[in-house]
Amino acid sequence: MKICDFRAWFPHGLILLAFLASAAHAEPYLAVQTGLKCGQCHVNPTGGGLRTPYGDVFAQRIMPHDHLDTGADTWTGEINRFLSVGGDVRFDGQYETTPGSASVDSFALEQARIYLNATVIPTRLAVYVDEQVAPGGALNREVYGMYWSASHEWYLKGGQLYLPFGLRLQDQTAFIQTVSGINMTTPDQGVEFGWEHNAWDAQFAVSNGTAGGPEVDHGKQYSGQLIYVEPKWRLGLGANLNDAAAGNKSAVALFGGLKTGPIAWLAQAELVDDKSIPNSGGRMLATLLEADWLLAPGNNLKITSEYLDPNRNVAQNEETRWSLVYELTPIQFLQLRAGVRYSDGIPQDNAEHVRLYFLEVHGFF
Amino acid sequence: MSERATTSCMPRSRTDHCVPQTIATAGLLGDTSARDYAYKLQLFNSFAAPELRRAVASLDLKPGMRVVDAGCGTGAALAWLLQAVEPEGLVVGFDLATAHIKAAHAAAGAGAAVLQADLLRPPLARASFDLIWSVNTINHLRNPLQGVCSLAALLRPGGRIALGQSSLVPDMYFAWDARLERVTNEAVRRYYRERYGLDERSLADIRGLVGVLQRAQLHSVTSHTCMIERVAPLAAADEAYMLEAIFRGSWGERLRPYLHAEDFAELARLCDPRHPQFALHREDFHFLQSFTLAVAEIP
Repeated sequence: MKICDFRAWFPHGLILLAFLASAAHAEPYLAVQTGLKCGQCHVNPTGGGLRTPYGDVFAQRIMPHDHLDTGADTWTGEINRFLSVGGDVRFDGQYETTPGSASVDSFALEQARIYLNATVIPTRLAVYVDEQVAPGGALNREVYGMYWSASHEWYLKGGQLYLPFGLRLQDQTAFIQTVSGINMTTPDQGVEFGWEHNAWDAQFAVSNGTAGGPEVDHGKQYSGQLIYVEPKWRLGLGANLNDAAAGNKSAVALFGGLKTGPIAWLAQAELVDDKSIPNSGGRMLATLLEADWLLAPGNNLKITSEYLDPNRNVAQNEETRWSLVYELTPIQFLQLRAGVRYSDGIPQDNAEHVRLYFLEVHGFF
Repeated sequence: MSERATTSCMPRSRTDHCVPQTIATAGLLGDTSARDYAYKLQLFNSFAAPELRRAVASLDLKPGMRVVDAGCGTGAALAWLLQAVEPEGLVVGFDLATAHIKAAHAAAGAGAAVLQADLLRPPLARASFDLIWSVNTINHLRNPLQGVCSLAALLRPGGRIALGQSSLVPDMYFAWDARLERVTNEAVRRYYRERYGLDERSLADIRGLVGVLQRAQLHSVTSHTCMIERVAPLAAADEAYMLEAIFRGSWGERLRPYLHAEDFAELARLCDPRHPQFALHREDFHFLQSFTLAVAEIP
C-alpha cells in the first residue's frame, strides 16, 4: 500500500475499530500513578490480562477523558459470581524506515486476546485462561489454576504462566523484555508461589525454561521477584536462572517506580549472562527509564529511554532507543496511541537504526 | 448490605481476623442489591452535610491518601473525601444496591471509582488503603464484627477505619411533648422488629460500636459524638429530610397499628404540612440527632 493511500484510509479505520475493539494489558505506570499493587486492577497478582472489577471501573471512570453513560449497568467483567471475562485488541498502522532498505508501511493486528477466569470457589480457587485468538490461529498465553489461602497472603499457581521478573511492560520489544527473554510472549509451564503481606509482594516460579515448548532436559528455570510498594514509590529485585543443557542463562534486575506529581517514573536495570553464547559473549546490560506524564485525564505522554549493551566484553557496541508515545483514552475501553521510536547503534548495522512511527487503536474490556 | 448468617471470627493474621462461613440472602434491615432507598439517603446527606463534612475534616486526610467509602449509598461523601485527598489521592466507593450505585456514579463524577459489591466481599486488594469511611452502614449487618473485619483487611499498616453512626441515642423531635416522642420511638422500633423479625437486642447491637472495633483487634479506638441540631425556621434541606424521610418515610401510616388512636391522630397532625399544628413550622421546633464517629487504627 502506498503511503498516500495509507493516510487517506487510516482515520476511517480508526473510527471503525473504535467500535470493534476490546482488552487489557499490563501498564505498570498506572500502578505507580495510583500507588497500588498490580493485583488491584488485574486478576493476575503479577499484572496483565483480565481486570478485576475495580480495574474495569477504574478504566471506565478514572482513566478516560470522558465517560459515555451506560445507564445503571457498569461493565465489571463479571458474568456471574463465578465467571469473569475480558479481552484486548490492538491494531496499528506503522511506518518504518531502515537505512539501506525500502521503507515499509503496514497495518497490523498486533493481538486479540480473550481472558476468562472461573472462580470455582469464590476468592479461593480459580482457573484462568488467556488466549490469543488473532493474528493467526489461537495461541495459548496463560492457563493456570490458582489457589489462594484464606487470608489471601499467599497463593499457588500451576500451569502455563508469565514468569515473575521485573516490570511487565506493554511494549514487549523493550530491551529489558527481550534481553532476559522473559516477557508476555514467552510464558512457560511450571508452578508459582506468591506471597503478599502489607507492602510486600514476592513471587517465585519454577518452570521448564522452554518458553512454553516441550522440555528437553532436566534443567529448570527459576524466576523470582521481591517488591516493596509504598503509595509514592516502589522498589523491586528480580532474579532468573535458566538451567539449560546448552548453557545456563541468568539475569538479575533492579526495578522501581516513583510518583512525582503528575509524572510516574519507571526504571529497570538488568544484567544478563547467557552462557550458551560462546566466549562470554552473552554478558548483557539493559536499562529502561520511562516517564509517564498525565497531562489531563485520559491524556498520557510516555517518554522512554532505553540502553542496551549486547556484549559487555565488547566496547562501543551499545544500542539506544528513544520512544515518545501519546496515549489518549477519549472514552472508556478505548485508547488511541501515537508514537515514534528511534533506535541507534553501531554505524555498521543498519538494523540498529530503525525509525518507527505508529498509530495504534487499543480496545479493552 | 447483604451478608452471611453466621460468622466465625478467629485471629489469622493482622489483616484477617474473620472468615465468612455462610451466605444469607439479605441484611439485617432487608438490604439486597434490588433494594432502593436512594431518595432517603440523598435527603439525609443534604440535611447532615455540614456535620458529615466536619467529620471528614476531623480525620485529617492528606493529599495522596487512598480512601474507601464502604456502603457509599448515593455517593455524597465521595466528593468530600476526594476533595481531601486530591490531586493524587484515590477514592473508591462501593454499595450493594444497584440504584444507589447509579446515583453514586452521578454524584461522584469522574474522580472516584464506584463499585457494586457486598461489604463482606469487597472487590479490592488487601492492605491497600489508608482510610475506610463507612457511615450508617454497619448497623445494616447481621454481624457488625464480621463487617469491620472485612473492611479492616483492606487497610495498610497504620490505616484507619472511621465508622459513622447516627442516632445511637434517641432523637428529639417534639421538644414540647416528651411522651408522644417516646411512644413514637417505641412504635418505630416495634415496627422494625416485626418487619424484619428482630428482637430488641439485635436492633440495638450497633450501640456497641466501640466494642466492635476493639473485638476486631484494632488499635487506638476513639469515639466522638456531635449533635445535629436544628431549630426553627428550618432550611429547605432540613425540612425535606424530616418531612419526607422521617414523617412520611419512617412513620406515616405504618405506625398506626402500634399507637393508641389519639396518639396517632396527634402525630398525624404534627406531621401534616397542611395542618396548623405542623411541627416543622412551629416557632419552638427544636431537633436533635446524635452523630457518632468511631475511629480505630490497624496496627
